[in-house]
Amino acid sequence: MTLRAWRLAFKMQRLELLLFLSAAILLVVASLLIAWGASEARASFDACYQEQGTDIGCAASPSLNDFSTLGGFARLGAFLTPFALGLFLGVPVVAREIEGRTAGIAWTLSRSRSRWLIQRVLPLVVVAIVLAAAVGIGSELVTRTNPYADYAANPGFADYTSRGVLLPIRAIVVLLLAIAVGAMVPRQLPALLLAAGVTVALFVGVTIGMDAWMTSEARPIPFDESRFGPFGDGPRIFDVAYREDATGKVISMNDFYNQHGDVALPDGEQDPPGFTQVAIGIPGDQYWIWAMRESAILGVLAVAAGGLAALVIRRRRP
Amino acid sequence: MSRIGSWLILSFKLHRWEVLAAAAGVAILSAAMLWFTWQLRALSATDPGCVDPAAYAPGCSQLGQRFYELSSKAELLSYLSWLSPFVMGLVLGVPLVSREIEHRTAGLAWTLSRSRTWWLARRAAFLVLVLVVLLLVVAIVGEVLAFPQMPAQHLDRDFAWYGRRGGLIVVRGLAALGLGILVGAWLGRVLPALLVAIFASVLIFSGISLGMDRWMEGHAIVQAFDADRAGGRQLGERILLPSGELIDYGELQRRGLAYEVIQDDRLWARPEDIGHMDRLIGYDRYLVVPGSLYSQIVLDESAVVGGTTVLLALAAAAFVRRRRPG
Amino acid sequence: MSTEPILEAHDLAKRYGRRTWALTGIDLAIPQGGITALVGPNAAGKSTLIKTWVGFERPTRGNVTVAGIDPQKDRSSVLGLVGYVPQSPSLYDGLSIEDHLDLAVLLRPEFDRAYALRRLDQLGIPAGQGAKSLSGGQQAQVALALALGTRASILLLDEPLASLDPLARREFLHVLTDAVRSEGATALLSSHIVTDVEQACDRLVVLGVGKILLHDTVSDALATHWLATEGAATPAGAAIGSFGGPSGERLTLVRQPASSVGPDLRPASLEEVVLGYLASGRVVPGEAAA
Ligand SMILES: Nc1ncnc2c1ncn2[C@@H]1O[C@H](COP(=O)(O)OP(=O)(O)O)[C@@H](O)[C@H]1O
Ligand SMILES: [Mg+2]
Repeated sequence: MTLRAWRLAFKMQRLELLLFLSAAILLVVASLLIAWGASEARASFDACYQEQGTDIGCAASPSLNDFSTLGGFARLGAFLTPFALGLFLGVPVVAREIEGRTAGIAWTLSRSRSRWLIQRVLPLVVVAIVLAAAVGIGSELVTRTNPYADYAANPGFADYTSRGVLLPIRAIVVLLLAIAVGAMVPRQLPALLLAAGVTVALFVGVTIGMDAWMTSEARPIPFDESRFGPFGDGPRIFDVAYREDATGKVISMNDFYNQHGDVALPDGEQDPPGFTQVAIGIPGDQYWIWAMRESAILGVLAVAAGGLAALVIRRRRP
Repeated sequence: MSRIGSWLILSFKLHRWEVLAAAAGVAILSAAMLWFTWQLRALSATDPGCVDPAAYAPGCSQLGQRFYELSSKAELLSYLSWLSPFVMGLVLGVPLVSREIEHRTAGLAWTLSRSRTWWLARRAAFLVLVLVVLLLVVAIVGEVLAFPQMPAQHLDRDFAWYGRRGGLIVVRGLAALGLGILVGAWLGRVLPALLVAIFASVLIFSGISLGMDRWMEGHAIVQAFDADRAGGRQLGERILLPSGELIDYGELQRRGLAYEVIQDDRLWARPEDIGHMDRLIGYDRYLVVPGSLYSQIVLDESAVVGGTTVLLALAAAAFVRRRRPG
Repeated sequence: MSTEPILEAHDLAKRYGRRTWALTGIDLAIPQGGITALVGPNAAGKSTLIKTWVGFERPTRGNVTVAGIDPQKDRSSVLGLVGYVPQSPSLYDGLSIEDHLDLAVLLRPEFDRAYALRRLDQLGIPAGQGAKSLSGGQQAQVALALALGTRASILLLDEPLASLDPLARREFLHVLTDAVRSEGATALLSSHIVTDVEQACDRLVVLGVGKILLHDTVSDALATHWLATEGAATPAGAAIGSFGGPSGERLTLVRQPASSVGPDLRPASLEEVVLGYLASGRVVPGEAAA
């Protein structure tokens, strides 16, 4: 694509692009500041903890709490970014051309509508990827510096949907889907509402599907009592169960109580004698495997949405 | 046909997409919430003891589990009622002026009507009507669902589900409508205006929320950390100094009053200080707005949001008066 | 026909943004009654002038009045007097023609729905049809009917003929002339082609790039303008401007009373009058601001 094509693509949606650019810059800068502040606060907390050997008194500083709250906002923004990008950039691509009656000109000037679509969409895809990736990196840092966890090296599945590689790929799926919906319902606001509805349905579906897949591959994970709760490396937990110490057999809580009735727990003990509580889930170190699997699924969906958009546009009356 | 009838029909036709979408959304949400209401009621009727956390009885685990599952899903729905006034207000308000400009019909409308303010008022009045009716449904259904979801609480004196039930939903919707119209009139393009209006509403409503928290501090009482906060709204942790002064943890740090030990609700600088009341740093306390003030606070916030709505409406009218129609 | 001016502009200048001067100091007084053609090339500033009269654009300098009222000071009184058809008007997507008339009644209670409906009926435009399914010409007719239905005494029509076929143009002008005659109204319509409006108009205003080149009644303009072919003697000081004729020859427009016209001058048509003035006013873009 030529420089001119890029400039034109930018001008067509100048207002939206400028808004997104400034919002993304704000969000990334805020994320960096939060991450930096959180790691500073955490360092002083750790120093206090080292010195005393206990966190009593160390937790007094409100900053850990504050950074945890701020981090939550940043992650929410990051979670919403791909959806907002995709919907607001995608819907008007065809819908505004038809609504504003410019499609007639555009589609006769370009001999192939698919070509027109690619020229029009490619810059948007790049912008969506760049912005979503930037936001994804920012929120990755926020997660890794979460003051109430030890995620610096590997956050595992923590904040799975609001950081890292999934953000850009989600943005692309939503973008292409929104273009297709905008071509089918060539009025911007209805198209936006419909595209939002379809997007929610699609992602709820994908999430349910992924959860089912993960559940089917979940396995026992021993509890690891760290300072910040039972799991250090961000596993994805679906259930808790008992493991029989002698045999290593895992039995669900329900089955356990059905077999043994209400067992009186010894004082100060979590587990019935002879059993140890384990979590059923996917360990955090498998994050990349699953992120790649989900990306592959989303990639297929993106191709399908793009194909649908091209198909609708080929047959559409301007 | 009467003037009112033709006004209703024409206004509907001009906004049919948004109105139908909003009505469909409200219908689905209300149906879902009423279904949960019915399920939760049925469960309570089976064994009232099992759904009252205060009177948890043995043998409840199945029923209690089911109640827990249902009520946490109902809780999720309540967030949708919280969201609905913002979404509906913006979706109805943004296109009012911006679409007329984008479709170049404003030139026609603004010369046929002598006064643009009058034109705007009439168009907006229809949307206000639609919005009030639809949001009233959401507000009432929210109340209806809240009762079986929190069977043990006195909800007329309880901050639970604040903004997710009751009249505040309607008031917030009107403010969002005003904001949507204003931004739409300013930008004159539907989608960018919607995007900006979303950002702006996040800012405005967070601002109001923070302001309300500040305002509520004036009504808050100081409670011991283990006191019963039934229905109250917790504003935050505070430290009651022996001098009687109440400060937050940030202020404590700024004053260099480091503490290492909390014993019961007492803060001590060092373990060896424990029991020496002259070395006590202070007491751990909570700032709580009592549930009995719930309706008053709702009215206060409604007044603030209502005032904001008036300002937004005036600004929108001023904008429309000066705007180029294309 | 009274001669009291009803549409006026005093030293009107309008600038868009920092650089684009659409109008550069216009003085104009159009008397009440009859139809005035506002003729000029594309981008001459016709729409801008009309939009300042309806109060849509604020003059950068000078002012305009409609029946003595400044639309910047009292827009609503002005709008009560005028019916306006924007250039390439848009109708509402989801509304039928009837809905448009109902809307007009709501927006302006004195709107004459029956009258507008009758006009559309005469043209065979089905009132129940969706506005966006009409042809471009029919949409223009609906927009005119909306303006006529206001029964306003002043009609401002911005290039109303542009999207009409020759037959529809005749019908349109017929409807307009009829309305103006029977109501004693004043109409101003802009066009970039003078032949379109020749038969219907009483007065002619030629707008060059941002300034008035000629303002006269059609009959006077025809009576006082002559054409000299190449080589013919043109009286000193009377030449207006030269332009290429249909077969490539140079023609010069001359203004002179009929009594003193020499033998080698022939009467100019209205189109040739406009061409001559446009040729005289042709300025290099950018100089217009000077
Ligand atoms: N809204 C606007 N913003 C900037 N320039 C404009 C605007 N409207 C018109 N212009 C410019 O003003 C000049 C006159 O335009 P216009 O009045 O539409 O001419 P006409 O109707 O005679 O074709 C043109 O150069 C045009 O580009
Ligand atoms: Mg024009």
